[in-house]
Amino acid sequence: MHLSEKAVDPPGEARADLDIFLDYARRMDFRNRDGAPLIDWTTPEQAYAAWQRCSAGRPCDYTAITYERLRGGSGIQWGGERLYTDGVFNTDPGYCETYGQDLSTGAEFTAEQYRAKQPAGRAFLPAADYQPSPEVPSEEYPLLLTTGRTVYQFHTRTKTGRAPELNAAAPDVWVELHPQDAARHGIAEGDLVGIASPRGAVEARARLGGIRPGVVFVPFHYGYFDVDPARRRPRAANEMTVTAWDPVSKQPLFKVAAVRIAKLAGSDD
Amino acid sequence: MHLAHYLGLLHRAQLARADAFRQVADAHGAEPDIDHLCRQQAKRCDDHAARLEPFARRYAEKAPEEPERLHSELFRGTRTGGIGLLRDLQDLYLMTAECDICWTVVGQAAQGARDRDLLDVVTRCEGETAIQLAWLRSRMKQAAPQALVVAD
Repeated sequence: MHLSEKAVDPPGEARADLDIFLDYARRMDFRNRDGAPLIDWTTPEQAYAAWQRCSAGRPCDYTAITYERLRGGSGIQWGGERLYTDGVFNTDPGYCETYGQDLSTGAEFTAEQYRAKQPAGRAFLPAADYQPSPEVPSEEYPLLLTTGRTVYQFHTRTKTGRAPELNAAAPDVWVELHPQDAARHGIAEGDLVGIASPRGAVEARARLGGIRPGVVFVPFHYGYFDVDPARRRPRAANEMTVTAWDPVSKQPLFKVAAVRIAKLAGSDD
Repeated sequence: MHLAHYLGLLHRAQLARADAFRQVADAHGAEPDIDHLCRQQAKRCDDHAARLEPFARRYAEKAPEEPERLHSELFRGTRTGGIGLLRDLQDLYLMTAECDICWTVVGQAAQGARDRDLLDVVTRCEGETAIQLAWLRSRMKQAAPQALVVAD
């Protein structure tokens, strides 16, 4: 855990996130059981203190992690060196945070079902039969698309895209291909490639490399906020990804989609 | 022995349910989880039907005439919108509950007939059917407040 303190005041009319949330709580007129305002704090440290009270006695108890300790070093490892050294896990039915879910559907288990397993501090390691991803390569879309990051950019580049050195290091989208897949489509290093899934398509310059044959990689950092609308070309990787998520973790299915590719222009065009 | 009739009832109910799951996936594809999970469950129903099929065929050879009003019709097409989704999931829930109780009944008959192979199929499929019921219940609980209280 780290404490990130304010570095600069918000510029112009901008407001700190916390102030926006507090304003929202005030306008919603949230009240506690005594009819007093639910939120009785205003500073980040007061907000943290409220969270510490909230978490007291629960598996995520923050009461021992004070501002003083957080400022003392370079952060605090949750739970110390090792968790569960006594072999007792937070699975007691009266203390646990969830009764668990079926991994394939997200179906919630009931308190009775959970108690019947007699958890008593034992850990659970649920297993699930293998199931293919909702979208797998087909004749029409024979390649598997996975999306990800480059070290120079963060998320949709709203910060790193404005840092000249970082942006210059990775200024635009690209597509990574295995040389065999590229050769099959007449694609060479630097060619402009069209990549299409059943939902959408992007254009990107080819980089040939050590990626697994049959798999193509497109970084998801590149969108349209910093592109002149007149010069806009489709480049956002999530034009292609499936709009769905894992039923338990709710992780979006950004890592697996089926696509086809074609050469659009040479490296000099 | 009338076991064949219940195997036939369950077999046809599984196929109807697979079809209904697919129709609900088509009708409510805008809900990001419905499309994938309904198709996943449709496949599971197909799988259950396929596992039953050899037993239905074998027992049919010893079966008397099919009794009247054996089969039920629990699904007559999908609806639209938030409350439509809730109501469609309720249809799927009732269809799944029908299969669930059929597995119980067939399981008892399999014990009586000393049919270990059929009992293995029942044990596997009734467990998966219980998960389907639990999922539909979870998903309906999730959909109900928005559909019944918030939506216009």
